[in-house]
Amino acid sequence: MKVNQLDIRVGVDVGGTFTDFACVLPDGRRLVFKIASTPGDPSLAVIAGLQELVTTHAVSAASISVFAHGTTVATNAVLERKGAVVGLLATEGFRDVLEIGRQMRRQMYSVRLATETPVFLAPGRRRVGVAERIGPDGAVLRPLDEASVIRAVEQLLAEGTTSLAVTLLFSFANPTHERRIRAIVAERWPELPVSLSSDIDPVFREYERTVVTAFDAYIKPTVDAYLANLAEALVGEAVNAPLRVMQSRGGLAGAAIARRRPVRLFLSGPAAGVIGGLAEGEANGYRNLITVDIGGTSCDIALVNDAKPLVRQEGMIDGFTVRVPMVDVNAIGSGGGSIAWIDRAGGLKVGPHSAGSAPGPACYGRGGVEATVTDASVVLGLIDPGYFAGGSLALDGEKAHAAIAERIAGPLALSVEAAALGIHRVLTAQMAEGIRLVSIKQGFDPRDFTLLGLGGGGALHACALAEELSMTRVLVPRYPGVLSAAGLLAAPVEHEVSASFARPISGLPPADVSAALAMLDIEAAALMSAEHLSTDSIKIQHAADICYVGQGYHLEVPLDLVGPDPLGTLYRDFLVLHDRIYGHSVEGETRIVNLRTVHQGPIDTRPAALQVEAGDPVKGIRPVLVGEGAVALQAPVLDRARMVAAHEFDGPAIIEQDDTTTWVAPGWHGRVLDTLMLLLEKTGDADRDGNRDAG
Amino acid sequence: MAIDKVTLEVLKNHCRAAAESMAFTLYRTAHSTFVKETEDFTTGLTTSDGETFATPVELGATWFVGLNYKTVIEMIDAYDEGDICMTNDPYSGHVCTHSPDMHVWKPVFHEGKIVCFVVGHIHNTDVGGAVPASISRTLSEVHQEGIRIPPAKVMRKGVFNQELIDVMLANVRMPEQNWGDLKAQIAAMNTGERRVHEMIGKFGIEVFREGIGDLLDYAEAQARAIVAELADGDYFFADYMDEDASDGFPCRLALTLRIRGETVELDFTGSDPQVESSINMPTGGQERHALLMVGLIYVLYSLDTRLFLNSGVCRVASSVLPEGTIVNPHFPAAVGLRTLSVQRLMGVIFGAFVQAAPDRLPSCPASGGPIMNVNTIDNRTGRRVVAAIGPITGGAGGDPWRDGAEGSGANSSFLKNTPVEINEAEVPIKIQRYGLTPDSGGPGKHRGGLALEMRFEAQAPNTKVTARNMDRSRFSSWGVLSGEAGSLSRFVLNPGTNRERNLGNIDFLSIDPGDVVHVGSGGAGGWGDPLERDPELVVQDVRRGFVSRGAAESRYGLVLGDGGYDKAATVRLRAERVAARLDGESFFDFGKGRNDFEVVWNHGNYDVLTELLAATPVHWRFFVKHRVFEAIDGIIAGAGAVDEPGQAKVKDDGSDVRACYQRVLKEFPQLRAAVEG
Repeated sequence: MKVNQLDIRVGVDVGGTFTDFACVLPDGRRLVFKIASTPGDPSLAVIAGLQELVTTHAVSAASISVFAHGTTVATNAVLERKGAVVGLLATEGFRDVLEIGRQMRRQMYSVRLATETPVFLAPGRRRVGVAERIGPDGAVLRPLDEASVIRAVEQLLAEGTTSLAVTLLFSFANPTHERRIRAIVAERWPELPVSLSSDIDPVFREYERTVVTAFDAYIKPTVDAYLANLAEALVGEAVNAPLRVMQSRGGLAGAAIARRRPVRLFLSGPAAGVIGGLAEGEANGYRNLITVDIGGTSCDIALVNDAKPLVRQEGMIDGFTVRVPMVDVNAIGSGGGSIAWIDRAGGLKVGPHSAGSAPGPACYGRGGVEATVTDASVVLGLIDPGYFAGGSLALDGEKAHAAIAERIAGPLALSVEAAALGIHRVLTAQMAEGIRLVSIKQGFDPRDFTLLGLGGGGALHACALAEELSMTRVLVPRYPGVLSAAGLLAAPVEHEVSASFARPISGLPPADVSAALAMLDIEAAALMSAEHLSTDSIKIQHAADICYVGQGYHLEVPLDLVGPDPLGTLYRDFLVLHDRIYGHSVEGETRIVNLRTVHQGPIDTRPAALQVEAGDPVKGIRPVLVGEGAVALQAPVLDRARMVAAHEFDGPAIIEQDDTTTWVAPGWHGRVLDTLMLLLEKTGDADRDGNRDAG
Repeated sequence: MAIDKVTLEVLKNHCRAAAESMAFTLYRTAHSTFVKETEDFTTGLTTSDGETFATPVELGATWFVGLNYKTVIEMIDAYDEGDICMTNDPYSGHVCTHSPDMHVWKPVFHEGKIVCFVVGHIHNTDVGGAVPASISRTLSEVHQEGIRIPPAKVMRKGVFNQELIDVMLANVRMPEQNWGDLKAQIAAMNTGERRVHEMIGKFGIEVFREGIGDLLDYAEAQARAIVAELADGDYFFADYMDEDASDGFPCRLALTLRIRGETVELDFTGSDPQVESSINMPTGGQERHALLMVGLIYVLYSLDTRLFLNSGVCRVASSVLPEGTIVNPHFPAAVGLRTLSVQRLMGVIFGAFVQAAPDRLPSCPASGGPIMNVNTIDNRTGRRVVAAIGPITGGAGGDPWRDGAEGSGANSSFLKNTPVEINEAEVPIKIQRYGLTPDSGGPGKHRGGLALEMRFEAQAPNTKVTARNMDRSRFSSWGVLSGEAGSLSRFVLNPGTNRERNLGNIDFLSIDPGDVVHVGSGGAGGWGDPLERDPELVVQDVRRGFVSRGAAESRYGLVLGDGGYDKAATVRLRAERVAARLDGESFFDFGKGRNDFEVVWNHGNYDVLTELLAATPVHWRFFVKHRVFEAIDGIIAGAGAVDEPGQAKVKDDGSDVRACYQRVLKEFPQLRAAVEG
């Protein structure tokens, strides 16, 4: 990518409280700022921030070359139940699939329970069957009765339907009936948006396909209106760069294309955060990362393997499983505001309930009486009550002490200090469990990874977490709180297209696979061409979902059709992957389930130029309680803003900055890298050589 | 407790994670539909004595939290590192409770000593025997239910015992499935062993040893606290299965629950004698046997979902299990279909507890729907296909807060269904319908969840269909506090044609191309008075197609109007209905089938029958029960139209039952000899 005066890149991530801006100027300088979000219409904050860029920072809107956006519109439409009124057309006899689900439930041992399927998308009166049937091989067993379609849609419209979802059995094998329905609707009711399952997710398992299609229909009008409106407003502000939005799987899409597949915009912000972490790591030579973003109420954990995020073919939205490829972000209910409590058998628990920001932890002095993780941090001396959030919120250390004394220490007959340590230990164990879920359960050994501490709390708990998992390296970026906005600037434009391809591998002519992939590539290329990227900058990756014959779950295996024996290689790669994830693999009959192609645009890897303030970084010294016995250690307090590259120090140490506090435990050595990234490494009793993959 | 609370909490996380990672390994590597789609398996960690101290909470079957492996562990003489043992014999230690369940256990060593066991089971689709899938109500001896492997080493010091495996595989119908699943189980054991070693490395052996004991104590303390909140008292409840054998008589399960402070006693006296079909529950008389504890665990967990689940929970309970009854049968009674009876037993336990906490527990979940299996030839490939096509389970019971979930959520729904798009691709049948059954949920202030139904058509001649666990075609799921009973189950061949045939509870049939089978579960019971149901919710149910217009009026007293309901007319109609009610409403509504049955077989008469049978030798009891039932039926038939309508034709003081028993004694002198001998 050529650097010129017209090359100002802007990333905007909308969060619940703040809208974060990261802007890279042509000379590499970075502007980072936040403004209050406008939940009623999130685009207002986006435009307000843009205007601030223009007025305060003298950025010319016309010089913006990239405008990348992480949006919560899709997610919030679901969380707030503000989507469209969806009508669902299904094959006659199967309209209840959405309600029945897979019959499994998470609360297995409870006999009183609420439904666990997203019935709200299309309750019974808005699910109608149409007369038609396609068989498993795609053969038409019963032709589509068009009159039944018209009757069904009329009935749905009478129930107030504003968006139509269509999921017919085996439509992934033969989409003609679904497409005919779209044509019929387009002719009679041109204003009614239609989501076809054969477009959205042409893969077997009717419940899963129904859910993703219904979600698509549910958020389509909202996303469509929002993106159209924002794109127009940007033009109004003289921004010529195309509006691009972050998709769930971690790539950007032009707004016009995203509007066609809105269901791919779930968890756009967290995905951007992982990409941001990935870019920070890679810029410093670390390609294997576990990112831990700790906020007030939750902790988002993700794994980056060889500079690629793990992508799951099924994600979660508001507790519902949705078959949309998503960056595998494991969100657990542990954060600074998590409340510590004692259960009826005397066990110490932390979370998932949170004191939030109102009333907040007891030390906020806003009426909170519960003991929270932040209160424990204050008692332990990890957080300076006088310098929380850069001193913008004065904390009350006595209230923290009192809350822990009354709620935890008293009932457990522990000292307040021991109780505070206990809260941290339990929290660490829970978060470590969350990390195991994204690492060990995927066959990765966390010891081969570097922990990246993000958010307001990541850097505070990073050393303890790393020790719990025997990890030996921790990184803390210079601005750990705006990684999502930064990630937007580091993400490529990307489009993924997949389809069912149910064939055994043995005896399969490679030409059949290349022919099927060629069809997918045409589709993906059409999407990319709408992004106006030069074709020679586009990387194409193919993959196949593979399983043993008879097995219910598949693994995604990269597929390279160029080599001498592509399918033989594919089979062997599957065995290796199966062994990595499940601990064993045997020679056996395997089959392809789905084929997939991913087309990816170029990635901008230019480093940002960051400034350091002049002056002595050492601010002072204060006692911190550590270890089983809550021993007080005198820890120097350092000012992050004044720490220059190559600065080195040993733990114990506390590093303060406006948006986070880093705790460097005893036995850890710290160093500031050229990018001002903080690297912490375990020394002394480290029992294992880190296979650090950077110089 | 020996180790500190904070460490215990951390250890608990690790133990549960270890059990879950075993389950995860198993689930993702197993080959058979039963495991991969329906999740009928377990994993866990036990003490060196076999007490389960950790299980997964979100994966696998729910029945074995309280399982104790002690008996089978002791049947192996000595263990070496790398050994893995297995058994599927329901009469060797009573850990396995029917032959398709292959239980495995592996000792985990530390410095030469066993510190714990990693354990688990998989339900194999078939282990041989008289019928495909090995289970049928018609079987009466365990020998017909497939190959039985008493506790034996399938791996010795890390090496397969190939002879044992060969014997097993030679005796089953789909050996490659059993083999694939066994390998998945072994992989899960190895995962668990690895995780235990990691925990020992992290916590140290002393903390680990002490800690797992503390985890059991911890669960026990939680369970005691939950029980302590319930009112002390004796609570009696009974329910029936439709038949004690094919074309048999109803089979009764009875429980007197005695809540005393922090403990409960489950007295199953009054339950029927062991039966000549396969619904016996092989508990071995163990008072905390897993099959008895599962209902209790559901109740305690429902009362407080923070309960940590392990066998420590069971320590609050003791049981009375009369010998030779369905809850404690003698060898070689068949047990394959104990799934059906255990489900009913769970309902009986719910029914006892709901009387102690009606504002905290739901009415009866749906049941009666079978797990369907098909055995046929695929016209496309010429190959035989034996596959489970899914469990037909119904909805959850209405509860104090809301309606029961529709079509799923009953206590059997740890079983996942199989997608139509997998069934039709893998099994040569054509599915015509898979959906919810209107008007099936028991009316109530909070309605019972709807039943589930499936309709499919055979594609090849001699397609064998097994419908395991079919029941509730006579006795409904019950409602509470004026909530009404759910609908009955339905099993029909060629519905709506002149070849229509009601299949009742049969569990095996052979059909041909063009034949259509309709199978539906029962509906769940309602909670609270349907006349107090929010009229808007009734209107919504009508618009959703869940309640018919007729039922809205007849059962909810709702007068529908234009696009809604007629408020004044509804208030009037509901008031009339309330006024017309008889006094003395009972706590439960059992539905017509049971009310009719209990006109004759009331509590008093059944107690007398129980007393007489208890004094009869075990091998005679089932026979004698049938003769007495026939004799009583004779009285009813003989009385003809002489009696006034509505009057019981059989005396309710037990005298007719005693008289019938005496007649049987007289007719069979051999019996008198056996009784007196």
